[in-house]
Order: sequence, then structure tokens, then C-alpha cells
Amino acid sequence: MDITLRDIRKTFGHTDVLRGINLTFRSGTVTVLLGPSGSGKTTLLNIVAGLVPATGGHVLFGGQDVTALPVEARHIGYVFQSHALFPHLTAAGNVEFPLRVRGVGRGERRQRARDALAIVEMAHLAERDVSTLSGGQRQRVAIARALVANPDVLLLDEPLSALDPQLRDRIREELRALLEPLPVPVVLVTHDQHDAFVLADQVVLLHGGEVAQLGTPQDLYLRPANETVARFLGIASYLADDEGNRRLVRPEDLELAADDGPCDVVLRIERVQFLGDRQRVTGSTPDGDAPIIVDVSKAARVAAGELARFRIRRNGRTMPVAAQASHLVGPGY
Amino acid sequence: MARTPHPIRKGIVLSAWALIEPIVVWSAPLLLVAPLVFLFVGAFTRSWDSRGLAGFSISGIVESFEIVRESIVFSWALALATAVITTAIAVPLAYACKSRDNRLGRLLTEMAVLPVVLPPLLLAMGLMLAYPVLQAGWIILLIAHVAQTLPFAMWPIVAALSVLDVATLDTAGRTLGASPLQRLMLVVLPNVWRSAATGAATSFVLSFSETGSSLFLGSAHYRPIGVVLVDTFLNLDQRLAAGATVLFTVCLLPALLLLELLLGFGGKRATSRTRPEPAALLTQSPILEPGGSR
Repeated sequence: MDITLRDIRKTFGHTDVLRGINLTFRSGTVTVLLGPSGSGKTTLLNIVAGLVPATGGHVLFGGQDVTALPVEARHIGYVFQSHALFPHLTAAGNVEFPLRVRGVGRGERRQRARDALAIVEMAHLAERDVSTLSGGQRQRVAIARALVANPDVLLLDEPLSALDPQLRDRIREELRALLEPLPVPVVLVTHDQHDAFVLADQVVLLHGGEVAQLGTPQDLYLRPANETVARFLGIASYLADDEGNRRLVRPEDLELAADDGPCDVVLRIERVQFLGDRQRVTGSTPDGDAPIIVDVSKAARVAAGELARFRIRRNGRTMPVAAQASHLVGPGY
Repeated sequence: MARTPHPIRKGIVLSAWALIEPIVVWSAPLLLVAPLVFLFVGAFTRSWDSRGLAGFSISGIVESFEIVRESIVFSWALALATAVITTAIAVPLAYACKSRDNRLGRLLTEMAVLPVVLPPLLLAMGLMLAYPVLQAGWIILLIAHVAQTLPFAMWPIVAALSVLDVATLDTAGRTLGASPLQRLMLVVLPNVWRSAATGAATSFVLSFSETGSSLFLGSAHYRPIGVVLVDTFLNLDQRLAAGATVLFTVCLLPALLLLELLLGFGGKRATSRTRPEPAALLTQSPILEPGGSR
């Protein structure tokens, strides 16, 4: 069952939080709502859930208009940032809860809860008090609880934000493996581009209450619709070529040119930061345009104040954006 | 730069404090307990007049029991009804206040606290004026006691709900398809029953010992024990007044013990939740638990 949003608008006071959002979340697809704080992504998720009423527009679950339905009647699964597990219940008790409120018999709900916990590899901890579970384990229980009643859509609000960076990497992979085979639309909110890229089949980048770009992670990173999208998804520098096109350059798109080889651009290095696995060089073209940021190997000999010659990597993707004065130089500069 | 106190002067101060500390710490409880001890001794005395206490006898207790017997039964029933009704109102009211983190929720909380700042005599007068048809009956006493004890029943529940982040749990219940009644019964109540029981026990104790509004609203047929105690003291029969006090205290003891047990148990539970056992910490380790993840 696909979820369709038609011209969703939301106003808080005099502030337009969402301005006419049209989207479709397809079954078996993980859609990530990505955007900076205040972009309206959590509001949009809560409108899909029915937790926040839309000021205008329609929410359709498989063609049926559910805009006026309260959250209790929408048949959704929602995973909270804090997991919101019931502290007086065990892991199994939490997973049984949605079946219990629907009047499912004790035997059947125990079996279904066990099955759901087995899917998230938590069956062995079914009788554990949730307060004794770790963050990752609690998250899995929360997902099992959200899925046990076969919801029409699974919604996740910032599922990784409460985790520390090391755990986050691992849980992100586990979450991807859990969400991938689900036969329902999965909508996930995050402000972290790495989370979005790993977890998403399609990314919706929201900015200022509007869809700035919709596409695969590759689309957004390699072919951003505009500078706002490009800059939100990572460090983005721009070079202008002889035809007057501005070209997007990511830090990994440039490499140091050999001393006697051809080069595409010369930068005066302003700053070098050691990042452990690499060095980040900030420099500018000779006529002092906006800073260009380039990552070079940790062993490269670069120093502030020097001129350095770079080549655009053969597999480095650049894109024309707008006409500007040329800073790209031809081979053999 | 701060001056360092001379070692000898510091030693004198510490020694003096060591002497004064027990007096400071124990004087307040002793001041409270001493009259009660005195009344207990007086209750088991043969005579108590201007010459002082003399002899041992339980006749004071027996005589005062005859005086307060009916009041004890009535006060027990009144306090029990007060505790039940107050708790039945306090739980959903506290839930409504805390699940609405908005102006209405705060207004409800403030309204519920109003009886604390309103003197009981004023409340009694207001009730008499508002409901003259209920005068001299037990219902008006019950209303007064419920109104006065409601804040004390609500506070522990509100505190428990604040710790619980009930608004999020309530929303979680909604997303899982639970109706408001299901959320109250299956999510809120199991998490706050100890606090509700603490509030109920507090309501019972406060209602049982209430005199302020009962003096106004009590009648010949419905006289709470607090009113009888005041009568016996006003009649200057010190021995009977002491006996009535002993009986009053004995009647309150079960509720006080229950309150103590609930508070003690709740405290231990809270500690165990915030400070998990070392064994529990070990089992949470991702290294020791290959199937788990933190």
C-alpha cells in the first residue's frame, strides 16, 4: 500500500512550516526525510502519522483519504527517537501491546510477539525488563512493537540520533538490514546525511518547508538541484570553467597533480587540517575566489602559503551550475 | 585571597559543633514526640489533675472508647470513601494535566492545588452556602474532605508522571492503536499505582485527622473523630482527651504503616532503576553479549 501526500501544508501561528508537499512513499521502499532543523521533516512525519493535523492537503493510504482519521485509527507503526517503550512491561509485553489493545487472544499475541522479536533477533531477551536493555536492543524491541500488528506504514523519527558515533555506525547497518525486506513503505526522519545515504532508497531533502530535491542518494550527492542541496549534503566548492559554467567540486574530486604532469587547477593553500586518515586543504584560486576544499592523503606534503597543483579525478563527478569567471586552467598550466 | 583558619580555632569549632549537632538534629523531633508521649502516659493514668499524674489504669482508655466509638467507625468510613474517591479523581486528572503540556494542563494543575491555599473554614462556609440542602449530612463532609485531600493525592502521581515522560508514552500508546481508556488503564496506571496508593494513604490520614471544615460541617449524627477530640479537650477532661488521642493514633497506625511501606518500597525501586546492579551492567556489554548491540 503506497502512501500519498497531496499538497500538504502546515502553519504554526504565522509561520509556514510546510508549503505544499506532494510525495509518494512506495511499499518496500525506505524513504528518508532529510533536512536541517526547522525544515519541517518531523512535522511532515507526524502529519503522516496523524499526530499533527495538516493545515491543508490530503494524506492517502493506498488511495483512501485518512487526513481526518486520528492516529489510533490509521494503523501505523511509529518508532520514537527515545523508543518510548513502556517501562512496566517486558520486551515481549511491549511487543504484545498493540495486539492486546486490538483484542487479539493471549496465545496468539504471545506467538506473534515472539515471531516479531525473532525477526529483530531479540527472541532470547523476550522476558527481559526493558530498562535492562541497551540502546540498540531497545530500538529493536521498538521496531518489533511497531511491526507486530502489520501496519500500513512504518515511521521512524531520528532513530539513530541518541546513539554515540561508534555505535551509530553499527546500528545503522543493522537497521538497514532490518528495514530492507519490509513490504510496507518505510519513512525515516534524520538530519544526518550519512544515515540518509546508508538507509535510504530515496531521499527527500526538505528545506524551508519545501521539497528541495527528491531522488536516490547518488542523485542528491552527485547531481544536486542547487547549491543549498549541494552544501547540505557535504562540503561543496565551486570552480568556473572556460565556458562560464560553475562546476561542483567535492573534496574527494581533486587530487594533487604530479610535479611534471598536467594539472587542472592551482590553489594557494590557506589552511591544512590533519584529520587522521587524510588531510583537508583549504585554498583559493589565484584570483582569490571562494575557498576550495580538497582532501589529500595523510602523507602528502602540503603547507599553508604554498601553491599546489591539482587534477580533477577521472571518476570525480562535477556539474555545471551557473555562469562564472573561469578558474579552471587547461592541462599543462 | 581567603584566609586559612588557625588549626586550633578550627579544632574548637569542630568540637563545639560535635556537641551542638545532636541537639540541633534531635530537638525538633523531640518537641513533636514529647506531647504525644505525655498524652500516652496520661491516657494510662488513674488521675490527672492540678497535682499531676498518679497511678496506672486503663479506665481512661475504656471510657474514651465509649465516647469516640461511633466517631471512629464514621471517620474510618469517611476517610476510606475520601481516599477512594480522591484517588479515582486524582489519577485521570493528573494524567490529563501531564499529557497536555500546554496552558490547559497547567491551569488544571493550578486549579487542583487551590484547596491547599484555601483555609478549611472558608471551604466549609462556602460549601454550606452553596449546598444548604446538604447541611448536617455526611455528603457535604465527604465533598469537603475530597476537595482538601485532592492536591495531596495528585502530587505524588504528577511527580511519577513527570519522571515517566507520560506525554511520550501516551503518544506511543496512540500510535499503537490504544484508546484513551486503554492508555489510562494499560500504560498510565501500571506505572503510577504506587504513587496513587501513596496519595490514597495520604488522603486517608488527612481525612481521618481533619478538624477544620468538620467542626463546621459535622452534626450530631455525623461527627468525625477530630471533632470529638476537640470537644474532649474543650471540656478540660485531660485524661479522657489523652485516651481519645491514643485511640485516634491506634486507628491511624495501619494507614501510616501502609504509607511508610509504600514510600520505602517506591524509594528502593527508584534507586534500583537509576542504578542497575553490576550484573545487569555486565550483561549490557556488547562485547559479552554477541547477539546484542548497544
